[in-house]
Amino acid sequence: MAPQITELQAQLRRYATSQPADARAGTPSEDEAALTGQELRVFEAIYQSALEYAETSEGGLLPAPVAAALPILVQRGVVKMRPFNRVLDAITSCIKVAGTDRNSLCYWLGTSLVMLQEMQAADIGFSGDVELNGVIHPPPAPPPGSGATSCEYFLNQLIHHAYQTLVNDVANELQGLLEPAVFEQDIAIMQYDRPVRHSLARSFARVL
Amino acid sequence: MDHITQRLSTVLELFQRHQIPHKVRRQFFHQIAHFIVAYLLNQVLQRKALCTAHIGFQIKMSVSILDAWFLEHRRLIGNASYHMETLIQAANVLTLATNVEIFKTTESIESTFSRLSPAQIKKMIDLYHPDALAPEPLPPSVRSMVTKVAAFSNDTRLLLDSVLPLVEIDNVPHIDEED
Repeated sequence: MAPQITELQAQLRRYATSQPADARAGTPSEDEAALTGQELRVFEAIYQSALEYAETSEGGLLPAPVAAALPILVQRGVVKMRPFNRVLDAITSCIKVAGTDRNSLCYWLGTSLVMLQEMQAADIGFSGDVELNGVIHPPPAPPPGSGATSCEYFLNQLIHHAYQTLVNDVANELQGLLEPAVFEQDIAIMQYDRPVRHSLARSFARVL
Repeated sequence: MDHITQRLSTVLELFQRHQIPHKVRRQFFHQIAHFIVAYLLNQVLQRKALCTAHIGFQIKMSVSILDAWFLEHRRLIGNASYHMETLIQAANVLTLATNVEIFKTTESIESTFSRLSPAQIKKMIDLYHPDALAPEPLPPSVRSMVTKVAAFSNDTRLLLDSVLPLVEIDNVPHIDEED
């Protein structure tokens, strides 16, 4: 198993098994226990999703398990800000562990985008529209305690980070390929003592 | 160029597999197309060795392959091909540098090279040198006219920022993406 996957699993396990500070201090209230239960289910979804994804060499599964879990819980008023932020922390960790593995990055970017889409559609106070606006530069941080606005802000930040990592990675790779492909290519059509390479000749004719 | 179009195809395939929304796909490929243009143009503007007619033709050939890929996938990625025109015009400066007619008036320069700033055109003409493909020296009238146009222009853009701001993608004209 790749070390990257082991680290991913370890991080998700830590998230999934950690307890809130107030719950550790004494007997948790019924609400607190329900909240922790829901929270664990969300992390379980992320964990399973990561595991199933990691084990599929062909490129992973759809981001449905994670994306579908959250809006329903938020809509029911079950998931509050604290666990939501911890879910985002978990996904942030997954994105960090993905590094420049494009398959993983695309998976978590897709997951975060679908999650944002679902929450925007769920009428729970999100104001943006990812289908219309796409990836946005995160707006100025909202005031503390502003609920859905903060959720949307942090989710947009996360999406922007994953997206920008992907853009930079692809741009870096292309940079290394462009120089030889454009400036050092062998254009036989312009070397009069050599036969014309037909594929290049066709391109050349198109440009002219 | 096949290596590059293969990489782009792989990324597009990943985007489809992971259900990245259409708008985000468009943003991504616009940014990558802009990056390619900015990188290549900045190289030309900074390296005298690249300012020849031969390199101009090489750029045009390479762009034609990239452009064909962008056009082939326009239904999925939008009008990313739009960005290529800047590079085609830069290549035209190099391949047409000795053509006095193109550089005869301010209007003909501005209309032929509408996507380039006068400062960029002047820089390429300043660095231009004859090669085996176009051995004629640069006509003095070309250099003086380009210098004049640059002197009277407020547009002093030279090197392009390789990062396209996300907000600018919305300013790119749409083409019929359903064709």
